[in-house]
Amino acid sequence: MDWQELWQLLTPSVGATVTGFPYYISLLAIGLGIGILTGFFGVGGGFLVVPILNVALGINYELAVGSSLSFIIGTSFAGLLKQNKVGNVHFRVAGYIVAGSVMGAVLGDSLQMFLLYGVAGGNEALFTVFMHSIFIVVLIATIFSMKKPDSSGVKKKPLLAEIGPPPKFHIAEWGPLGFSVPGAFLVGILIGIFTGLLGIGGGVLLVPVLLGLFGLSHPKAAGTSLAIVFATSIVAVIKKGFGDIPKISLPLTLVLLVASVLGVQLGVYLVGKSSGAGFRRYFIYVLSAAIAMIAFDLINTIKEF
Amino acid sequence: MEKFIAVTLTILVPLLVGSGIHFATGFLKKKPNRKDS
Repeated sequence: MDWQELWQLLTPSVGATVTGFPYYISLLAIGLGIGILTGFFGVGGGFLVVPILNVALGINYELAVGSSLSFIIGTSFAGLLKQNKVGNVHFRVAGYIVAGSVMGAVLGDSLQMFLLYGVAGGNEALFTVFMHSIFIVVLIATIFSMKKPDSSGVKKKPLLAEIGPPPKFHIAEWGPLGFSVPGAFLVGILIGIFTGLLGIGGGVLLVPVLLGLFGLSHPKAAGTSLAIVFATSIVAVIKKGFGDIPKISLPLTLVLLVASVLGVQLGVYLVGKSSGAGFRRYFIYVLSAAIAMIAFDLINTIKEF
Repeated sequence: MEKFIAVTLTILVPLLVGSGIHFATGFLKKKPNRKDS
């Protein structure tokens, strides 16, 4: 057993612009901030962790993505245990989507490597431009996918019950209405690609999908999304861990995880203190600030060419 | 062999921390509700 090699695999050079004590303090601050957002808005925050690690600390995208996925394993598992206890996890729906998402996660990692070496020719700055652009598009799409809650009270037929080829599966909430198995598998593949490529758990994309395509209630969508995120992240970490280049830093993951735990408690406390009005608006402000930050760094990176 | 252990650790360590978070928050939430009869 080569302990030195094991240590190097677990603690690869992340390429950060700051090192030592300031690096860990910055990581703690980022983890705390992400935790507050998680506690306050109930989102995973993976879609913010990766670009912030790159923009604020200059950590290589491939390492930020891998470490974020390892971080998501911890946060989603804690959430999953909690949601499962209150019966909010729909394992049948999760199972059909996970069958596709684990394949998607492998494809997403391969796509990331194709972008880095096949398209950018190993040029980290050019790869950063691609990743920044994809993140901006995903964050803008997230803003537009956030609909105001339907106050009409009419229960709409889920989209995947209307479209999609057979065979069909049934869920208790919708009685005889069948949901397309290939459709659920395809949705899983698409979500998984985002997970493997961008290092986001996919909760921010999955919850609207589970609400709109499968007609799940809000609590069940949140619980089921965590089960899918958890399983997909594990497969993505395995794929990345056995890759040719190191993509996961365990110290980075751990510092983020511990800081975010404290942040979540603070976020939950702040929710209790707030009136509850304008949550959607605040969340859009956070997403807009993230888009502005990435766009600013994108312009600076392009200028360097 | 080293790679296999590294991958296992990058999954197991966050899992342990995650379950630790779950049980710790559960314990902290239960504690204030206990009243002496």
